[in-house]
Amino acid sequence: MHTVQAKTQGNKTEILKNAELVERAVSGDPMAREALAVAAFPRVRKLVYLSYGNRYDIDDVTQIAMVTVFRDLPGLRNYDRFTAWLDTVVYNVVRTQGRKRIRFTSLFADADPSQDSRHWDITPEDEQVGHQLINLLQHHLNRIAPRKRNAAVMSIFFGYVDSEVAQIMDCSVETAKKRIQHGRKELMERVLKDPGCSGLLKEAFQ
Amino acid sequence: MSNTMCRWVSMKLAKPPTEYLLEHEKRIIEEHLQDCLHCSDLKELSDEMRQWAKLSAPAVSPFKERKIITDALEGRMPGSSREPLFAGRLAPWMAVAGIAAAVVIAFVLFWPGAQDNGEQSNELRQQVAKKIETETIAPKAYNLIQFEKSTPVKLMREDKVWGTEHALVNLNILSNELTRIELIQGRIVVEVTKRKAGEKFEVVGPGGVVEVVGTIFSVEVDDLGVQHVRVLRGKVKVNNKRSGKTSVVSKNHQLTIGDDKGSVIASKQELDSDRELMGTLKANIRSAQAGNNGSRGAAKDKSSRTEQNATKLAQKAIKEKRLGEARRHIEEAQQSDTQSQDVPDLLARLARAYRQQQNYAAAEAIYKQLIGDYSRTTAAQNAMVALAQLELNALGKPNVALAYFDTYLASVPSGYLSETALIGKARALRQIGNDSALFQTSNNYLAKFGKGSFASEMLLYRGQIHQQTGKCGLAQKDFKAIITRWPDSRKATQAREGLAACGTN
Repeated sequence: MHTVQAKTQGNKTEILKNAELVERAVSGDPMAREALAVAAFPRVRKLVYLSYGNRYDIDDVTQIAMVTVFRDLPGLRNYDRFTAWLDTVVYNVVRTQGRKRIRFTSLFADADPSQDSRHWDITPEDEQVGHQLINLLQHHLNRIAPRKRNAAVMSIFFGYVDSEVAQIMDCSVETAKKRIQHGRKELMERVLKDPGCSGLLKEAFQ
Repeated sequence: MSNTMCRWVSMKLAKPPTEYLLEHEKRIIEEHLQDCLHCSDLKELSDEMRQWAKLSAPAVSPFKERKIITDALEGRMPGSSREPLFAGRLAPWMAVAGIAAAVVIAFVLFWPGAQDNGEQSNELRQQVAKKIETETIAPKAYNLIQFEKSTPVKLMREDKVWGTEHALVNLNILSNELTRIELIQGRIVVEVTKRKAGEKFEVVGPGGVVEVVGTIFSVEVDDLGVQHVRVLRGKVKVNNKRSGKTSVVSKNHQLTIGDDKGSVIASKQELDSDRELMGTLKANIRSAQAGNNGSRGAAKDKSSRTEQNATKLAQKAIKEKRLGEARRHIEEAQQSDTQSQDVPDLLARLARAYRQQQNYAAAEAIYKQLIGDYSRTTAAQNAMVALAQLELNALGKPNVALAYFDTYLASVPSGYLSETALIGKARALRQIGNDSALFQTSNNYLAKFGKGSFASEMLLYRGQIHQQTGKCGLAQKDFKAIITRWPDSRKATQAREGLAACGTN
């Protein structure tokens, strides 16, 4: 299951790196735009899922991010760096939506705090080890401050180096380094304290 | 082992694998790991972390995924998808709000002092408006405000905002000193009273931020997401989000954010359309207020309402792809008020919907109607380019397409579709086989948009013409420029073939 998923993901990543397709999409070709949207969706969703910090609105924020990406696409100039541009746009959406959510914290507080337990969304259908693991990681990430969380997500899950994270987060390289380091450290310590996580990690990557 | 040491080691282990540790740091860490169980676990986890990138987010249902992708391509923000959220968690709030609203309505309707319900509600509205205008309201955010045609949104200190019906804004009154409007789509005209030092009024769009001191100006986000700023009175400061540049736009000037040209004199037509938006709305408010007293006013009010209904119904029908019905509603709107500025926009949307359904004949007819009936509007100018593209690509009539591209370029030489029109013209000329005109067009394009999206194509055309006319030196220069700037593109492959034909590898 994991291999199939990885293969599909691999194909989609190749599509995102196809500068010619991106160029066509930028110039307004509807077929190219659609192909790009289908390929970009899992990446956008993953970034929103891990960075946004609230489970309720993930689909809405994903949609807002997708709308923003395709609204701003005509402004893209460097077709070879589409994924980096995509991640920057999505990060900005996540940050803006996160600020809005913080402003209305009392209004959008969880109706039933008991629902926000550790295994909140591990349903019987959702038995894949990978999904259970990413759910747990998301749970721990949600407890980290947004800037550190986003820097850690970019570094761990998207493989960006500090200078790229600095560019995406619009901060200095030194700041990005610190955020990545602190985010990773906090996540590692949280995962280490969670006995459920270590078992899953061994199962997922053995 | 000391806690200080553990903290130091854990910070070093938390560094991404791309960052190297110094030799003496490695040695100290290795020594520490032999004694400290917690840190050795951290090290193991840190090594495992490299594999986490393989994880993907839990999948959504294919239906949901399809819906999000379709909505994204059509530029539709989430709205209906929030229903479960409201039903689940905001239900008690909604119930309280509903009861409060019912009490207010009952009070307005059955208060014994009221002689006439219309007059009473009118009076109430005026009182509320007066209260909002005179009192300092608490900092608050209002999301996704949609404008009604005849109603400006009134803010503190007599600031007013008018918007077209499809304009969508988030209004954030962040403090008494800072008001921020986020324009998502459409066009708004803003009248801002003089601000003191330290007080800010900003309009944020996808391209940049417009800062105001005291002025009247409009901001528009067109269908391509490009942001235009026009100033009717005073001055505004525009900060480009991407380049970080700041420009000042003065009275009767306009700026397209992201365009290299900077601030230019706005066309009278566009300034008039902004004034018309303000003027029409003001006239409508007066007619609506007078409408309660006189039959003439009532007739005007009714006509305005009918048109408003028709435009709304047309918008809904286009959205739901009931295009025949949409066409009928647009005709109704035209009959009730031919000066309505929403009809051109609706016609453009209808034509686009027909194009999506591949009903090119109907789309062509609508575009022609739009160009014929509303030639002075921006929608008609844009329709010229859209129609030309339709003629060129779908209907295979390059000569007709060329005529429309030329008309657009002659009427709006610096319009924001001029780049698209130039590349369209070049493609049409190539199909016709008019090399001399193609050469001139590609030179025009490259002089104007040297770093534009279609520069590679234009360089290729120019190089090929040089090659055909035996000017191999010039051809090689163009081909090499393509290969250097876009090495992996299809144009680079063609350029290499051209270079080979010229005798150079």
